[in-house]
Amino acid sequence: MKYLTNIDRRVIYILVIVSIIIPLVLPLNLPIVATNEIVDCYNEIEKLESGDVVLVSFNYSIGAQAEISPQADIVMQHLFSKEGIKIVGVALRSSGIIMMDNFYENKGVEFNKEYGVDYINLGYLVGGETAMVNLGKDIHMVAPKDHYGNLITDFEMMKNIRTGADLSLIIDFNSGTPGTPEMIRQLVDPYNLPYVAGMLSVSVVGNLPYYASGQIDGYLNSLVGAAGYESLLGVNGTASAEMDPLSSSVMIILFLIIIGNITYFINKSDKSNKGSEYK
Amino acid sequence: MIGNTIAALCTLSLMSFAFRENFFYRLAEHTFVGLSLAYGFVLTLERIDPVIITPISQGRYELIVPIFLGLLVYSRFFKGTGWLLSYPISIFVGVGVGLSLKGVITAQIIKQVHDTYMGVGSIGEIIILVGVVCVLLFFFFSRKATGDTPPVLGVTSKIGRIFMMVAFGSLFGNTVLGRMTLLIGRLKFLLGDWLHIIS
Amino acid sequence: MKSKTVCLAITILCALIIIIDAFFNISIFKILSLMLTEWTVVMGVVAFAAAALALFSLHIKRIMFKRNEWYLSAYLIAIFLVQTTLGIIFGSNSGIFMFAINHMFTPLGATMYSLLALWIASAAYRAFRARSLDATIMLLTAVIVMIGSTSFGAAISPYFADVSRFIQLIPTTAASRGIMIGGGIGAIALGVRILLGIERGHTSASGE
Repeated sequence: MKYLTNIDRRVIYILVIVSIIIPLVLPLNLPIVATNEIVDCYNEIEKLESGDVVLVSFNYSIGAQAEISPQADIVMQHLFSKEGIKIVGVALRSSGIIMMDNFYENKGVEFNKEYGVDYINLGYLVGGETAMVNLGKDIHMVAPKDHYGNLITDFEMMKNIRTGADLSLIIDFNSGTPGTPEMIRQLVDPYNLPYVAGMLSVSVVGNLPYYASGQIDGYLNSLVGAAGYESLLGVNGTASAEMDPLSSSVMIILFLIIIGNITYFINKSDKSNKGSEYK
Repeated sequence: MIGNTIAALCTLSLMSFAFRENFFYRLAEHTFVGLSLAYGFVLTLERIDPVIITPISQGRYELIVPIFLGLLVYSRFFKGTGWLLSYPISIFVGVGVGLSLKGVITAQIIKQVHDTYMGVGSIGEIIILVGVVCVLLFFFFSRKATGDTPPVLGVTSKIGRIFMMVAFGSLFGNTVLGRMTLLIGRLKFLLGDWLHIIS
Repeated sequence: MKSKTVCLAITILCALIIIIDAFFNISIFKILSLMLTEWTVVMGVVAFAAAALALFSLHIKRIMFKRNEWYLSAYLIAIFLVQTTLGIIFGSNSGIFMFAINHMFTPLGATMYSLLALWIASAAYRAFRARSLDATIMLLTAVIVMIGSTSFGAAISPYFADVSRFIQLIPTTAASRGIMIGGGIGAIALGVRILLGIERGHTSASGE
């Protein structure tokens, strides 16, 4: 019991790491559920029609890629599989450019889409929230050239995409600032646009009021959201494979919390018994 | 393979901090800071063409003014001229205040209040209305209960606290999920992309 | 013109232009507002080297005065200079620039945050106790949300996901909304204080 009261932190670390490694090596294939907010996200993309313009924004940091990249991968797969959609990609953080190469440019090639006709990469836009404001007012002013240095006026698809009013949907993958509140303030509300967001787990609680009020039409909560989305598309991808280790590691955390509380209550009753002995 | 090995060594160096701080951790830390700075620097440098040079070449000569104001930021590195930094900062603060006031009023207050009281019908919506009111009362009337404090504020304070404890519990649960996901990503890289133990 | 009053006037003018454009449809303010936001972006781009210079001066002082582990500061500056030179010569899209970004910067960034998982496990064991009613409510909610979000919850019973969803959509949303509205009112109060000139901290940015 004394040992359980004060487990060495390195033992805890090893327990957590082992609880992750075992299901990675020996998958359990536990069921995955797509909850309502994931279905809402899926439906917003599913109901897009030919000619609709989608703004996809990559605003997440390197540290968040384990949570957000699986979301970006599967959502981009769904988006690029739709015919006739015009996709405008931007990064409002410098790290977003790295992610765009993996989950945006490669998808364009994979689905035989033509750059400049079906999709375009406007690159990194400096300014955060200010850049969002300018995107809504005049896209050509804030990004006169694409990520590769070509004038965007040379691309046919950009001729009729000038302001926020020309967009049909905003998809935003973010991890902090600029994030969901800024996007809602500067683009979603002013232009009354549908908006789906891929976000970190820690951001979900703060953004739930926006979902409840309809300002966010659907959201993906970290890896759980990505796995649910994969189940809707019938894909057994990265996120689905990582759900087993996530489940087992969370069980270890719960086990540690229970052990900690049991030892706390036992010690508390021991102390009160010893106290009553001296009375 | 070389790239993955370098990445794995960087990962393990940083992870070694969990057990004890050591030289490899500090080396990895300094590598990260240096690369992070260089990456942001190069990317922003590349924005000079589309944001400044291209518009000026198209006749937008008024951009000379913000270029000059932006250069004032470097005045802090010279003795006696640091006060010049106040001018660009004032513009940044002014624009920031304007943008946030513009957005906060509609998106964060009006729409949220509207959604709270409009069309309250189901039990869930009633609970939300009660919760929002109690939490707001908890924050705006936080003071020690005295003889003059209306009893109802004591009740709303307790209800508000319960709602907030549920929210913080939910936040903690989500935080655990998020943090574990980050670790899974790294372990999956080490076992899969580097050691090829998993496919 | 070291006047704090001039700086304050600039702040108030900029804020008022943006606010008037947001709530009234007056063409001159639309033009001024667009101009101001564009100027802010241009200023941000021009000031791009400020962070690098600040970090440089810190590390160069460490090297000059041979402070503890000064060689790590020299290493940092060397990494920065080499990577920046590669970026300027070959471009940010080039393989040679992206090699260090993909194989060093990205894994280091990801690993830095992944360590939090270990620390949260240790913190959960040591500190998360049901000491009071509030702590017990928080603990139970966390447990239900964690189980409900994972596959174990779905495997045990579908009700876990339903209860977890109810907790997030109803009481959590209520509390978050209350905090959000309160925070919004606080942001407006701060904005009004800046507009009225009561908050002046930013007008002496250099500390002089």
